[in-house]
Amino acid sequence: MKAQLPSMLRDELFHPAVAHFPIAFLALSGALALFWLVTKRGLSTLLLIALLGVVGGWLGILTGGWAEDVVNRVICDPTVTQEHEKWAEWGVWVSSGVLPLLAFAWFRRKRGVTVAYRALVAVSLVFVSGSILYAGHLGASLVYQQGAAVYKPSPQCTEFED
Amino acid sequence: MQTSSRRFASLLFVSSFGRSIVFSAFFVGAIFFQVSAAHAALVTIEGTIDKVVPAKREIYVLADGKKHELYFSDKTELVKGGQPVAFEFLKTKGKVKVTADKVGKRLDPVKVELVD
Repeated sequence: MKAQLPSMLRDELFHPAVAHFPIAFLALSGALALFWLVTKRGLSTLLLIALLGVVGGWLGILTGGWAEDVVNRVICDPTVTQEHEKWAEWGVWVSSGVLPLLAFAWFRRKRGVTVAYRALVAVSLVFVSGSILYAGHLGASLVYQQGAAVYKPSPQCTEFED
Repeated sequence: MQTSSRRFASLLFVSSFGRSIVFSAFFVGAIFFQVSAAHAALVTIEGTIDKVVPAKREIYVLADGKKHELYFSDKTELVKGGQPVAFEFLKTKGKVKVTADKVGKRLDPVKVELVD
């Protein structure tokens, strides 16, 4: 009997479609925050990148919940999913907390903010970068070591034939 | 002494009667090993329900200082006092005894007993 290729619109596949955007934005936000700390420049770009990262991050958490239900029933070590979720949530919560600080600094951009204020934002966003990159690493481990959400083709690959 | 051990070895491995004994012993041993291996993966956890997620048919159980994530399947048996009950009977802080199949670090609940 010919095997059927599964749909690409499965619940567990929305997460990888979304998650790479906040990983990129939030990882970049740490470097941009350091640049802003040192040069006092690039605040508008930093705010935009952080905003996109936070929005994407919450979408990642939403879709991650959908994927978790499917993936944790079949993978060999679901504790990796829990760690992945924990570090992603740390990154998204902290960046969500930093966002109003960035917005406040942007509205006061003509008067500026203190170096301590910029340092607080920078340290927080460097932490966010680290936590998000680590969460991404654990996500890669789930896929490439445990085959999470990965369809395994039949031995003869008949489902790919015309 | 050496002669008697040789006789015993030839009885076991040369005569058809001996060979049948050796093969039978091997066969029974293999079955015993397989049965043991099949049950080696079953574990029992006694603890308290930390969270119930009815939409996912999932519970979190706190036991031995660990939080265990358990997904029910169609084959999971849920009982109270020996009688089958619905998933809705599971409540947070309820005590449960879970028999689960351990696959890697994943626990597939086979039987969940409500203990009150």
